[in-house]
Amino acid sequence: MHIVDGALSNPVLIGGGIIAAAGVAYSLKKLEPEDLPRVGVLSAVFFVVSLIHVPLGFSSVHLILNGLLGIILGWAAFPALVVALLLQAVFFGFGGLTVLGVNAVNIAFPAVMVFFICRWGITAQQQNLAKLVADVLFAIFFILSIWAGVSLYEAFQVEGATWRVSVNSISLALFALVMIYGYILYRRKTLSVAGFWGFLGGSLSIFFTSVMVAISLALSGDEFVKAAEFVIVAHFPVMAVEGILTAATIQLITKVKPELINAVR
Amino acid sequence: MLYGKLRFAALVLASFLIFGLSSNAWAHKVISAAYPDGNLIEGEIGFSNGDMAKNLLVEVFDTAGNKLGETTTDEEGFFVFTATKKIDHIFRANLSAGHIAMLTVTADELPDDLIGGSIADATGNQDAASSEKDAAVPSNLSDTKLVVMDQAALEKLLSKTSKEVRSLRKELAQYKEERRMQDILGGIGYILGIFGIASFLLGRFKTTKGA
Repeated sequence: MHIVDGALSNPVLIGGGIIAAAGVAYSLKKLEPEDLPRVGVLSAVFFVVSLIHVPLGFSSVHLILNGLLGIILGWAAFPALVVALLLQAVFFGFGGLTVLGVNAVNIAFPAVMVFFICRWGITAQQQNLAKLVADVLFAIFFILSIWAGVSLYEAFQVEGATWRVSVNSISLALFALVMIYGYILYRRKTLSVAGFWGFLGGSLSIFFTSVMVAISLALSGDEFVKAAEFVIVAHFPVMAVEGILTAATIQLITKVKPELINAVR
Repeated sequence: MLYGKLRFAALVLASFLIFGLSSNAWAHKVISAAYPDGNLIEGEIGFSNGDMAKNLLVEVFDTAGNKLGETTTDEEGFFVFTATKKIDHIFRANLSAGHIAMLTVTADELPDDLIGGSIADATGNQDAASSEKDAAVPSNLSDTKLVVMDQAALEKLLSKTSKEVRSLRKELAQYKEERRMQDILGGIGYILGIFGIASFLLGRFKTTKGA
């Protein structure tokens, strides 16, 4: 998720920097002083969550939670992420200073997109409409991601079977299972409508982020399919986990502190 | 209902386990190091979690960006490059997905008997080297007790030392990668501080909704 220094070409770096600066400026203009503690806390959440690499099996992973940031903060995700990414780069050499803008845009822009898509669903007064849209969105997202995964899988099968290919197919299959299971939970009303929108937002944001990372690598000369194979397929498990975590968080927030996201109970 | 909640928790756990099955090359920092050993430059490239970069193309450039050659890493992420010139060597490997390993071996880490980047450079280096050698030899050689060592024993000792140095360097590199608790807590402190100051400043310029 964090692209390092030296991987991107200068136009991409400058473009990312300008977009990030514009995003921060716009959000600071919109920001109310009483929202700032919330921004700070969620910035700290991102900072910590993406530093803790959970060692599992032969690999280790970290969460991003930009879906949650987007749903709660909206545009304010920009300053929150820029500050957290800056500190990660300075303290731990995670990412880098020149790629700060690109990284911030890659993570914050999907957050804002999720804000516009899911905030409505979570706060909607017309529950039936929200349910219908959630179903359609889920179907589109599910088919799109499975299609992307399968086509990337096939693109790599042509090149010869490596263990990565089989690992990728397992990760894709498990992602599909978790998504279907999430949908079943929602149908059985274990997951509320708001929770299901959170579920969608959590996984959508990671999907957008990985597509944007693949695009920024492709713009710098990496072959798109190869870059996409690495980032998108590697993110399928993260999509599943973040979907569940965001769903649980949003469901809890709508129950105990709905005013945080102006949600209806 | 309780059953459903338990299953939800189990699902969260299970999906954490999914992580173990995926190769998340993007999640790590690239670690790389090069150790010159005579005119051989040995190096290794891997990720901070211990995965090494296998069969990876490593390109070698000089400071001007001219390609000097290339080599590939073995199964354990090691590569060997034989330096022919006493100039700065820059090793660059693209691990894809936005990971670039970049290593520099400077000219003075390489032995003096290699040809320099240019002729003038080379003579200059050799002059410096020879004068250094002169200085290093004690003037009253006859007075010092010399321990006589045969070539084989000396080479053995040297290889042992270089191995030890290498493992020390590796440990040092690992130590640098470690994320310590106080750094994380310090980072949280910084974030809260930055947003505290920001809310103070923003509060001066904007009036709050309630006011």
